[in-house]
Amino acid sequence: MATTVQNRAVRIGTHPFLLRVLSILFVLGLWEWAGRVPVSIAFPTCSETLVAFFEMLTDGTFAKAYAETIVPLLVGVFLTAVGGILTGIVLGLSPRAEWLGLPVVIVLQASPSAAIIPLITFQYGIGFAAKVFAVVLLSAPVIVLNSYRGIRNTPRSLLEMSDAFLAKRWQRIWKVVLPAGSGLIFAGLRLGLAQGFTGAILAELIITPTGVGDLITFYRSTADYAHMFAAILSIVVFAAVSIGLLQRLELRIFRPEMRPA
Amino acid sequence: MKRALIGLATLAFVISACGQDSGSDQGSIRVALGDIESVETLGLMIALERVRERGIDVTLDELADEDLANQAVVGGQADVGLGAPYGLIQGSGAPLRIFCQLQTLRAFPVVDKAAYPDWQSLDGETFTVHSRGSSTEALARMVEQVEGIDFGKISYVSSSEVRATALLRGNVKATVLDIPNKNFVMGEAPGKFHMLPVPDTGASDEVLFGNTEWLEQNQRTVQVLLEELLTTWRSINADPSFVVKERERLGLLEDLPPELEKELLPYYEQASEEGLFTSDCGGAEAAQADFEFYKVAGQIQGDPASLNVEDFWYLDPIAPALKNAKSSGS
Repeated sequence: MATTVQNRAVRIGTHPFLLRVLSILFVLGLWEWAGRVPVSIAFPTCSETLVAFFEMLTDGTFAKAYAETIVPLLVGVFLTAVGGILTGIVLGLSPRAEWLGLPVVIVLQASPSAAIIPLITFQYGIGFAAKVFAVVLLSAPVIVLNSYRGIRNTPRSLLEMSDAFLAKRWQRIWKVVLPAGSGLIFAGLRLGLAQGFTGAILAELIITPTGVGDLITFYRSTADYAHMFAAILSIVVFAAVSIGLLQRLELRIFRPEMRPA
Repeated sequence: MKRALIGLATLAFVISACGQDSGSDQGSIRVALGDIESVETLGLMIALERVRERGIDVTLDELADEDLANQAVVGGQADVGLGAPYGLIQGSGAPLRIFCQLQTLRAFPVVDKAAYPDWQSLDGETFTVHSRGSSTEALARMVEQVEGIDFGKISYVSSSEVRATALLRGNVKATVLDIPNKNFVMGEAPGKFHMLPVPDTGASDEVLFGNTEWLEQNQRTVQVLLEELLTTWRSINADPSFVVKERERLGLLEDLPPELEKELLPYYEQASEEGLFTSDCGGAEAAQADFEFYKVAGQIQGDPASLNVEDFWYLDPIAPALKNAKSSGS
């Protein structure tokens, strides 16, 4: 009897959900402690930030800000998803395209994007197009490279099998190469969405202070650090939830075989 | 015997260490500037160089923007900052105080001449300012009150340079610019834009502020700093070519490109004409004007009439500095 209770306690204590919650509570606890010390006048406590967060959530501040931020983000990520995946596939399938295009993408990924964003204004001005371009600039390399690697890493045995079954080129791509590379392609999309968020916020902080970037700039200028941290926290939460939803969508619609039993 | 000697030496060291006043005037100053060395900041650089000449060790840290400079002062990485930190002082409760007004707000609404001949024609139209809560937005709100109009939308574009470029490219039609960018736009497209009149707010565009503890412990350094700033400002107001002469004497901005060098004297002539540089540190009167103005900007909470000047300003060093500052630094 005692062993059963002990086993159950161990099972509960090592349950992934409980461990995740404990991990989050541990970080929040550290935050609260650091805010109470305080490490800096500009560092609010976790509780103050959460109060500000719910205040902004309920009074419509976040809704208004995200309505502005999300439009260039969605347009940019959509354009990059379509264009980036196609480019990655072409780079993965054609050695010529690989030699021609891959170095550009690698250089783009290695370049400091925050330094390039101000240059966007020379070509695209300060409006919507500049913000979309900032999203594309940050999300494209990771989507293209992941798609390319997904295609290039198709198991040789599967390719030989398709040869043995006399598959045509399009059948080989559609039925073997793409399914084999879909894991990395979707991972690229998730990372691309995260990078797209960075691009959208950077554009709002560097080019024109609108949406969530405006909230951060405004609260920083008025030294309302709890609200400023709440705005930053909202970006983390929004990005994490969006990426989580994208992963669920991937498993539900595109890759049901990968769903946990 | 040996132990007794070591004990005595330790005791002497501890007593001497305790005797040292850790808060005494160190004769050094770290200044955080949310800007880069340029034509507009040359006046300040001259004043700081003159402070150096009087034996004070001056470190000037240039940061990307004013808010970062404010943070440097709050965090103790800098002793003195430049900006308009009313929101910071009230909002954070940080022990900071303003101790001199450096520049009054001089902003120029530059608008498309054909589309907007006067303020009334901007009723319901978009007007572009620096950012939410900025002095340029406050100015726009004051114009709304004075002219009895309502802008359709206030849009935000950071940096006067970017707004000037956007104006020339047609991305914006009506905005607020500083002196150099107003001159640039007027020079690039003569006849296309014009300036609309603005109410004189008397508010500060840039003030000096520091940590109260540092200000109290470094009174001589603060005095020297204020005296040299006031002497420089007064000299510029009396003769703008003072900047050119002092730049040459002190070897400042030696790598200034020729096209910017041409702008140097006209900028200081115009700044002097516009009354940009405050020659008396502003004091309580400037504080009251700032309360009214920054309330409109959303930087200050509460009734401006009931705000206490001492909660934002440290006025003690101003009177002695005004007495000792020279009317000409030549």
